[in-house]
Amino acid sequence: MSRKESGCLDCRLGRRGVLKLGLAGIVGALLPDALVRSAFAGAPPAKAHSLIVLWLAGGPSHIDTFDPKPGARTGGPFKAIPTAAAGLSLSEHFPQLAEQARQVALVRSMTSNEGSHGRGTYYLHTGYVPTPTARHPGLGAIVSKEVGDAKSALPNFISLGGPSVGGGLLGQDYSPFIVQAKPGKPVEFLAPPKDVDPARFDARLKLSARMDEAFARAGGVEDARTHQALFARARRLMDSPLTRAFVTDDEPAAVQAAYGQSDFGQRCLVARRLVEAGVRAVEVTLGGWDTHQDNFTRTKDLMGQLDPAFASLLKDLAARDLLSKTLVLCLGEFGRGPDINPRDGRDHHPKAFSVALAGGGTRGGVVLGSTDAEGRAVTSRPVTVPELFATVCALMGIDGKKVYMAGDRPVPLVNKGRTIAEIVV
Amino acid sequence: MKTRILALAAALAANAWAVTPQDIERYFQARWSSQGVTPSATVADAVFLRRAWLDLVGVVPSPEDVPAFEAERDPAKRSRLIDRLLSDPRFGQAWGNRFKNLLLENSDVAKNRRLIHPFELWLAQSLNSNLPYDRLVRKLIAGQGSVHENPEGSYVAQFRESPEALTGHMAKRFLGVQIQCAQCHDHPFEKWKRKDFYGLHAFFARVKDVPVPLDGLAALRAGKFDEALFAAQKEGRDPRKQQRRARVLEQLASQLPEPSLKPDALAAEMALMNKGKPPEKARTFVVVDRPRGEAVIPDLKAPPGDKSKRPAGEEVHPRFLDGTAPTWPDPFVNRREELAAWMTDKKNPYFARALVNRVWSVLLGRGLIEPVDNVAAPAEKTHALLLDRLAAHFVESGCDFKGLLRLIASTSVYQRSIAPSTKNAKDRAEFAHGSTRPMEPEQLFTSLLAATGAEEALRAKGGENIEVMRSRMMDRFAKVFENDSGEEDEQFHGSLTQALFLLNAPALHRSLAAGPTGTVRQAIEAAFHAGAAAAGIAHLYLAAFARSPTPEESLAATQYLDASGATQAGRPLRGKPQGWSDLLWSMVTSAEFLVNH
Repeated sequence: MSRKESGCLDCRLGRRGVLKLGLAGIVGALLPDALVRSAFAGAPPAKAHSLIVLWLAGGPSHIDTFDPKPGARTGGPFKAIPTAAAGLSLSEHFPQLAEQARQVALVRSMTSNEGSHGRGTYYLHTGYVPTPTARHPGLGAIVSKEVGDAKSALPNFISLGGPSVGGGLLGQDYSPFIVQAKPGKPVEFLAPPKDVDPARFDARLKLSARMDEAFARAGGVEDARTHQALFARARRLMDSPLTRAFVTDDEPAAVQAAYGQSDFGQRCLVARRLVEAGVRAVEVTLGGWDTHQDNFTRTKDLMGQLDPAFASLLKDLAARDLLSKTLVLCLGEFGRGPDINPRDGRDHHPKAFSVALAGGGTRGGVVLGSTDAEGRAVTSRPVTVPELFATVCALMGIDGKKVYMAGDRPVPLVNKGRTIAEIVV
Repeated sequence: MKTRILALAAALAANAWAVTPQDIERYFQARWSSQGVTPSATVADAVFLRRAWLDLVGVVPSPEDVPAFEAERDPAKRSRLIDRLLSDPRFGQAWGNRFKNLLLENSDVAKNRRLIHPFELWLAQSLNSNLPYDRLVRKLIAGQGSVHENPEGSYVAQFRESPEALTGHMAKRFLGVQIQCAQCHDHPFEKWKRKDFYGLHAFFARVKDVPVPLDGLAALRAGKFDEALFAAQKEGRDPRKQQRRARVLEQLASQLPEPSLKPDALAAEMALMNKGKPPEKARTFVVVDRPRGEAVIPDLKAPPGDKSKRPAGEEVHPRFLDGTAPTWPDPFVNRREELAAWMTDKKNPYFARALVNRVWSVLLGRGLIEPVDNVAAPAEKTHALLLDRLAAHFVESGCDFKGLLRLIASTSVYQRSIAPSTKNAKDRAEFAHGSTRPMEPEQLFTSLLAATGAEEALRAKGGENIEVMRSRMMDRFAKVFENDSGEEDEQFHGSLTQALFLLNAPALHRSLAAGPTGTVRQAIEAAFHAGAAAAGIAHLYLAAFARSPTPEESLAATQYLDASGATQAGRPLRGKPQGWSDLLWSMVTSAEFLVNH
């Protein structure tokens, strides 16, 4: 494990580290956010308003998707196809994405040391390897905290179909609102029970407020206040017309079909609608990429879901003039190795993998970095996970150097990475 | 400062190891008076009852328990209640659950879900039989066997993906030592070095968990090695893996202990495990110790390499935190046994303090020393002296876990009201007033079933399968109510999803309807019986809040019922029960219900 990437950075800072952080860091840890921002103006200008993460859970095989190696002995059966972007080839099972390739910045030289699902998922969600000393916030939570609107009716961070990673040391307020329900349908528990009409619902809330007042008088002031605020927030969501964004039955059939008939595809459609409604961070999960067996059949099937969804999302966002303000990030916890095991599978491979970005101030039609003939090792411009996080934060207008405390340890939002200049406009 | 410490020391009974509730009270009295802090009042019987029920058996008391307890004349009734609750079988469930939450932190990883239920059952049976805490921890650290028959092994097995995390977690949870930073670097301001971390880590270097089908396990125990091997072979077609597995199976057969789960618990577990699947499909993990293998301190300067290969670095041998090393009587000894023996030794300076501080923090909302998992801190910390005395008491009592709970719950410190006095409002560290603590998901689930009376309906419907049903419901409920911080919440927080559940969930709504049974039905019947809404309202308050309503609350509730048409001028009417449901809804979703206070 290289020292630079070690998750112990935050803890190495300790008391001595505070000195190294410098004044901005220390004051940043002590002052309210607004003050820090005005005093140091560390936040870069935002290029993107919203972030959509397409999370490919299980670790997608980069060789069979974004970094095809058709000539190699271990390259598998899929062909590579040229795309609308010169020099950017993709697996033949990404025909629609190929048409959108001029919007895509593809990093083929991601590298990490985390080869287990738990650790890799944490790393690619937070930019930190898991450490027992701090619970790092997920990317969506960082966006929610730094640029989200605390008063918005819709939650600032919504996770569709997956748990994602929560607010960690930023607090539960920034954890995702998780929607597990069938996509395109109303959110679970969003409407009152059938026999509770609006008048009864109001009457019940008044009763609830009275109960909490009594408890406040008995000494539970804080709990009562938090509880009423929580109910008010839920009420605001229930009453908001923006929740229509979750329900896709008003979309033309052709649009629904374009995203593909998979849950993932329909969730991507919901994601687009949520971004239109102003939501800052949406994560959509497509699971099943852990292809230790039957890698090719399964990866082909998954690409069949990802391709129309990803491509339609880019097309739709662009048509609505939203792509320039929406950063789309497509990634999993690691890649998969070139060696094909006896079960026709590929195993975990964090040393080299691909991440695709689009919109939100990224440079389209670009390929950054490369891997060797088999896709085993990075051969040029290795990109670390913190660098990716630094880039996303910069595009979102977030100061990655901003420090929060985990107990008495200062933890910057981004673990020391530099912005990947090559893929930013 | 020194004289004050001496005075405080004198306040604790000198010489004798035993600490009494009065010793603890005297200790705090001395502190309060020296700091000009006035303690809050001692709580009324009903408040004490609810607090003790939630803390000791994990559920709110039934409506009948409240007046019965209030009516008891025995001045020692609070200690009698504590004794009664400590011998209730729900005690083991409640505390087993709490330990599970602290120990199976990776339990949100889906594949570890299969570890949870047997682990809870094992904890429950161990705590109910008051297995001395040192023996309980020995089993957790050194447990071998299948995680279904011997679930104590799950603690170690859950860390299969990151064995280093086991060392840090174990030191933190069982010793209150924060050594995890020393995994990557010598600690900046505590004394731990990387070689301390890896010395501890080396005790776990030979542990391995092997997936085995449950039916193969039975064959192994019966000595039918070939059959077991055959069962295992069905697991995968990779010949290399099969060969490796065959070698491990050989060791495994010799290390399979008798099941530690009692037969009835094991049967219940299997019912949950199978969930309609044929039993031969069910898999388990067997935790074994290999005869060889050493830990390595990874060279952090080495370039990133293939993780599947042995990391570059210096080989390290087991070493305790005090710098001594064990001498092995036998080359095939279970090294973890040696570590567990050192940890739980009477002279270990950390073990008892860590547990006492944890229990104190569960019961009083805050540890004697904070952070709660860092008791290795120096003696000048506030309350370090009291913690030491309590730890010594705990060790001398034979690590009597129930005894420790009895001692703390019997003190008047535990019985302070949450309502602050003008002179202690800001205080937290001196325990001069009680603190509210959000219910854990399991407490809330069980309490909702109890307070709404849905428990009764569930029993009627579930019959023999009630535990399976309850467990599945709890799993779904936990998805909504688990927090994602992995630590206990210090104060009520709640998520948007939880709020929506409380406001709108059909399941909760159904449990609050005026069905043939349930609390709402009982309240309506009580109102008709008395000819007055007030009797029904009182029943709801007892069920939800374990207290009677104040006259103002009763009046306000009556007005609500009148307005809803459930009553007329305070007299119950047939046919419009909704108002009653609304009242109970507003109670069981309120802050007063959602926290222990």
